[in-house]
Amino acid sequence: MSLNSLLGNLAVVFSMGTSLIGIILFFLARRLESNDLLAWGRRMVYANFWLYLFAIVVMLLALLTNDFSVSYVAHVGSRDIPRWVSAVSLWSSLEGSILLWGFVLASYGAASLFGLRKTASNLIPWAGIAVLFVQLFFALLLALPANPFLPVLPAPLDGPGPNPLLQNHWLMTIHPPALYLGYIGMTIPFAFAIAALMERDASALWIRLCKRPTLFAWSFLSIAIVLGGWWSYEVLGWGGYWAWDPVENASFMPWLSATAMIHAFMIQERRNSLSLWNLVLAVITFLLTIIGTFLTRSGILESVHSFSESHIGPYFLIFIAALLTISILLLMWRTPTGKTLRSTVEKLFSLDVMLLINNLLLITLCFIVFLGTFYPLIVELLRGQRVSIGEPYFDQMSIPIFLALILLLLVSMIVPRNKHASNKVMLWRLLSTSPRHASGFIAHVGFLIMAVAVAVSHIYDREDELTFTKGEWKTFGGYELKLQDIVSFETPQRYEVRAQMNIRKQGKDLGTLIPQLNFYPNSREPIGSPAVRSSFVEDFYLSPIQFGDDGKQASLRVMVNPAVIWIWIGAGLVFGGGLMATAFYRRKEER
Amino acid sequence: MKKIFVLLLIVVPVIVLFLYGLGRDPRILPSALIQKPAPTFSLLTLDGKTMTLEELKGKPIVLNFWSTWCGPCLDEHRVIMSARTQFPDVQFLAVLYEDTPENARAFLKKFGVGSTVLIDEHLKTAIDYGVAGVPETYFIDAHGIIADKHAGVLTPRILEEKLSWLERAVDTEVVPDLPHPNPPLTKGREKKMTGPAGSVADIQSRMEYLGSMLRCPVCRGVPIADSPSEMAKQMMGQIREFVQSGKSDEEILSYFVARYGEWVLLKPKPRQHLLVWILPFLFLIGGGGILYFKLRKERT
Repeated sequence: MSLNSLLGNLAVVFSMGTSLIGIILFFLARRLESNDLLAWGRRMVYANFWLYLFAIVVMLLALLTNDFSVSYVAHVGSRDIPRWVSAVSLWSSLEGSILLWGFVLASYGAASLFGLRKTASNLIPWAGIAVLFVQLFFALLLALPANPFLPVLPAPLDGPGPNPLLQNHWLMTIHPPALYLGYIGMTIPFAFAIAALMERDASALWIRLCKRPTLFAWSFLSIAIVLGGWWSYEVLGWGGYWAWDPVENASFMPWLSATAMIHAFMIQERRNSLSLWNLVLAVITFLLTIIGTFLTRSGILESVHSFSESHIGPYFLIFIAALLTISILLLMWRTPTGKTLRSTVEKLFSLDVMLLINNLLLITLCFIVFLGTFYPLIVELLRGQRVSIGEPYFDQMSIPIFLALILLLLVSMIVPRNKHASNKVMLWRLLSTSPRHASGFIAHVGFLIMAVAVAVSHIYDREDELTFTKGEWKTFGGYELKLQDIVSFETPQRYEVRAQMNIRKQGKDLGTLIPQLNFYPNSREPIGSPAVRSSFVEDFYLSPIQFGDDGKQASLRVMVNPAVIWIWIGAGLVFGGGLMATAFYRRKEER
Repeated sequence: MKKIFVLLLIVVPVIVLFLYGLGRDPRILPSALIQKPAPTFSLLTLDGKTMTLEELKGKPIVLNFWSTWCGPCLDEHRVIMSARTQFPDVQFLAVLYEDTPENARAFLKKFGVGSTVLIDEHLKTAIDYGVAGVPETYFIDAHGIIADKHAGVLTPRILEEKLSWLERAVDTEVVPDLPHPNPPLTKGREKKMTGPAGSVADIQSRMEYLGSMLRCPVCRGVPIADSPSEMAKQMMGQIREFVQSGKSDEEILSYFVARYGEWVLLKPKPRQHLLVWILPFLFLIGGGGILYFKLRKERT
């Protein structure tokens, strides 16, 4: 066994040990009310972080130095690829992704407990146990079915290189880690919800303890989903960014429930009510991230996202069953009964009621996406019949809810915050008050911009298929375009045919766009790469269909997609607003 | 006791569903045409002769869809070559899929002749048989009924199994009395016109609508109107022909459903799938009801 394999495996096995010991220490710390034991439990969480950091560094070095005696490097590495691609191929395949998962989870755990090191609360040991329990599951995956550090003997001289999609576009290199930051962070609210249940604590304490990591994770989940859509738009060439594919839905469902959760947090913090509902939301959100991972990685549903076959499905299934059972049992048997200050709703036209309706709408939407995603599987199980549910269904069901959400948001902007400051409405507060209030405003404006841009780009898009002969000018949607030339290039991985298109608008030269077809060996149908010219008004989108054999003709799908850039800008605002809210959130005792 | 029941009520269905999902391959689609009359065809061979299903009836047919660019098709080609001598009474046909006759001739020259190769312009026959990719093989009995379908490479064992079964079916000489749910669209059926089929804009908008309702059998993620695959393009071409010849939207959709199964519809039919349309409303109304009563209780 090579040194790298040995070190990596040792780190994983040690992390199992620290997790187990940590769980025991936390349990005893709570039982014996011992601060020393609690401090030692916390150290086990920190030890986990260092162990995973070490494992990640070992893997990165193995990737960068082409150590093909490590199974993951032999699987995704190559001597021919740039070094930065070697580094990011850490998340190009299953085993590396699970390793990254373990690292991110360990970081979240360590950061959350470090942030609370001066806080004394009975919730902390329970939350520590929950985090370490999840950590243990991922260590088990890393040790058995998804071990990236298996020794390969004899070591191959070269590897096949990572999934080519990873090298295609910079968006694909940042989409997976952003998604992990979002997904995995939802473990923290889950852990504190479990803690609140164990303590039967109905107060908003657990929310205050986990709110910062939750907001942070929510921001990354939001931006990761949009980055995935943006990548699809820039690379896949069908001119769209969202197809209601099961894998897309898998990321959207936890986002919906997490969004409901951060809004419902506000109600509990303001009124000290809704305690059970928030616990349910935290559990659902975490379960949806695990189910989403199961769905994408086990291939139980048909999807355009072809992940490699893996054997982790049964492990996830057992984990899901365990989590579901534990959560439901706790929710039923340890329902919080502590004193809650029930402040009643004075008026129906109030922010609290708006937030409640917001939750109803978001959870209904989450239910629709869940139903639509799994309905084909249910029908197949019960009737043995294959059916599909796609865009037309989801569009029809979700658009009214989105419209209702937008309307609600607009109304809530002019609703008085509370009875004492009835003249202060959200719009005006932005100008006068703290960055914490501004952050919410920014995120919501970002959401509105996105919503309008999605609607406009759907309603006013224009599309046609045009065939060009070399030198010929054609017009579409106010643009003039000419096929300047067709040139081919040979690269080690593929053969590229590029159409150089000159673009003009109202006589003004807009430069050259180069849609291209990529021919891979062993694949007859070429894979097209579109070319997009974005402006603040509209995108001009060229997607190749077919190039003539003589090199003088090109058939292109020509699209004018208005306002698309505003989707990405809006998402940036949502992301920025979320991060700002994370940074400026202060717990009561900190204020 | 009640709590245990609630627990089981939630956990068991979820696990059963996922377990079922794990135990199957979602990419395998059962053909909607099994035990149905094989769609008729009239195709040219490489020598320029016309072959129709009608004149082939009387002996079982192995109808294979293949191409020279599909690697596994070569293995399959060899399997069929040796099966030809083993089963002299079976007619082996190979429909060329997204490929040129020149490629096919070169292929046969290099590897030897197996099935009789047929040229399928615009994938019309492939679409008519609900083909999603190559290789796919249909087993048609002597009466022109599709007995079975195999997606993927044929191994000698699979081929032998299906063929001995087919030959036995001939011996019994029972003419199956089957319903005819998908008569050829070109004749017999009453045509429903929806608006003037002539106007270009109307044809375009109907094509867009129909294309957005059908799932691409090749890439499977997007509707055929958005799919860049050759198959989707040819399906759009087929839709254009249907629209121009005055078929109604429903007729066109049911043409594809008869070939690819309900799977091809991106929006399930409300009549058979009421739940998926109604449950969200019940959820919303139920949730709204709970919210309303809670709020009312709190206020009093």
